[in-house]
Amino acid sequence: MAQNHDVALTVSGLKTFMYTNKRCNKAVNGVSFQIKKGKTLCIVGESGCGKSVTASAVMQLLPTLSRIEEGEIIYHSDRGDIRIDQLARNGRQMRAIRGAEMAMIFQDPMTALNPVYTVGFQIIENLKYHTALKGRQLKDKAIDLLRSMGIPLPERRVDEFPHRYSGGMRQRAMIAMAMACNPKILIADEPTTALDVTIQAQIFELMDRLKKEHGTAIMLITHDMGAVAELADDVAVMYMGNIVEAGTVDEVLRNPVHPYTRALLASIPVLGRGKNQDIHAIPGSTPDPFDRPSGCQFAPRCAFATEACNVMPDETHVTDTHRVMCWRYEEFAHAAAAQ
Amino acid sequence: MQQQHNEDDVILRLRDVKVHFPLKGGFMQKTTAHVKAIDGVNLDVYRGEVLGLVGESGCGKTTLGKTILQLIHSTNGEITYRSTDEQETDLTKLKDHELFPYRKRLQIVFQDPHSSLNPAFTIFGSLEDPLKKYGIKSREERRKIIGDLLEAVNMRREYMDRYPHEFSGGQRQRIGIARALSIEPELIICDEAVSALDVSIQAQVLQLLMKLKQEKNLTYIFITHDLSVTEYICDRIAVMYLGRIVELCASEDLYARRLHPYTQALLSAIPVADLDKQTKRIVLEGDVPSPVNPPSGCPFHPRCQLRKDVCSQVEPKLKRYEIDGRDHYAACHLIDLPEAAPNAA
Repeated sequence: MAQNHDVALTVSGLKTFMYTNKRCNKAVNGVSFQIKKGKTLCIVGESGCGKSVTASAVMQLLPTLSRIEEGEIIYHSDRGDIRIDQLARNGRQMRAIRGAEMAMIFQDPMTALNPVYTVGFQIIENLKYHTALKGRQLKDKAIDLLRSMGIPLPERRVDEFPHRYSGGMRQRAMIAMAMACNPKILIADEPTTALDVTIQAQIFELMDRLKKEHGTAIMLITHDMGAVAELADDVAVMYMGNIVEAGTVDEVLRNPVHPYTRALLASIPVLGRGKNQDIHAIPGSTPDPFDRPSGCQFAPRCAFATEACNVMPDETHVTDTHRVMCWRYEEFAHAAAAQ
Repeated sequence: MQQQHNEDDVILRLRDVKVHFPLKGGFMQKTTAHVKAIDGVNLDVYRGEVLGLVGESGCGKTTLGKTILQLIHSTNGEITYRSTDEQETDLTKLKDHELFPYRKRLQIVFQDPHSSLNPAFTIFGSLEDPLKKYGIKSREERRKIIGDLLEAVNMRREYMDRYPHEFSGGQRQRIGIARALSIEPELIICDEAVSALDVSIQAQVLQLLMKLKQEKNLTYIFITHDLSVTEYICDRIAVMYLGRIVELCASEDLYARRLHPYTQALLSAIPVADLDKQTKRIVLEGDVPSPVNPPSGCPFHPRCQLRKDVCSQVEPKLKRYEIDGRDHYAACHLIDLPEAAPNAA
């Protein structure tokens, strides 16, 4: 992997396992990716594919009964590279990074905000720990942040409790909190899933602006292929703990070579194509995480599975940026080229 | 292509339906205001069609669905059900016990497959109740019917003796569909029936719904906020905003020939999974206004980019336009098209 200074975060060979009732769920099983400065990496996949666990691992916010087993998470800070995975979860260094240089927007703004503190207090809390601001400056900064997120009457809203905010405003307050210290890396875990499309458009506009104005590297976790097509620079498709296909958005959406990506794209109705579009459902459902297939995780649902698929395929590069985990990807690559 | 609908095909007719929930407060719990959840809806549903109801959260689409089933009682207006032998009944006038025969014909599939099945009952236990109620006395017969239903929704007969927690979300949603089908209804209201499912499972359930519609000649009212799904399965689409229908047209017209500015903004806000079809987003400011104090005039005017003076003063009526021989209804002052003559009927 070429080391250059426009990469903000490198994850390589990350394995994160969760332990419950003497059983082990290999939630993330060997995942590698990079997030570049001022770019958006979208991680797509169905529920249970490990996309949120990957995000929590990067932020060191994993639940107690889980741990990073293998792999590296390297944060390329201005002061040199930092191995996030080797820091203590709640140690001094991790706490200095989390919230200041790496921030996260959670899926559900209703539960991620504390209902017994005002929104202003929760934003100020972050500023108090990570900046030199004091007293009145803190509050002014919080009001500024809320204003820049397009919340009306921020001087009054800052002293209000989360229940007085609407869903879209709560999510914007969350983004204000995450952006308080101008983080280098912003991790957004399904930030708009709970919101209406018109509010979603407002949030997307906001994230685009942050990326352009501050050069923030964004990791967007979603299951919406539409959001990917609109926002992503790079895409990683996850299935059952592996990145099965990754590349630039053009490569993955125009020339998908993994059968899962192809099936996923064929299973969603696309607006504007009318009633006569062909929709192909993916048969079956995702396997039980405690009873996984031995080889390729998608093999039992795959229309192209062969004997070889009982062994886990390696990651192969189609182009420099486009990589895939499939034994038979070449056939699809040729088929796509022939079209 | 779809033809003009005939008056005889109407299965459900809504006229000026209003649902106002009282807000109580202060001394003696006096009614202080009303939430105008549904504020004057006129709608015809035709036999055998799939009608989509779309809109943002809080626009009243779920309330409208429940009002049709009389799970919520309307404050005003008529909801007329027309049976196959042309008997017309106004459901709002009936008492609860009189509604009983109509409950059999109108059914609902709920949004959340995790909370709509009782966890303490087996699938058979949950599904046999409606059958018992509608007169199938023998347990053997009930088991047979439920087994057939489960097979109709692509599940195994044996599953009827299992409990809901043993099933995945997609399977539970299919059980919900089987339950709605059990007493052979004519119209099913699907309230966000696929929204909680993963995309790959969503396609399975959509295909199942379309298959069952063909086999059993069903009519669906499909309530959802996902316009890509609506466009794919619906014949006609009604767009709601703040308790009113602002646009109603054939689904093929909605994308290409939408008339109302709200529909335009709504469609442009949806991210499209097609790199060649990226459109400019029209970003609406602010949130949906409160239905307690809806804006004067057109409910959409505070967020509308094209608003004129008239919009804040006069409420636009839902007018009928004709585009390529198809009906297209919209409620906006700014549409520059001749209004179609009223129907001869």
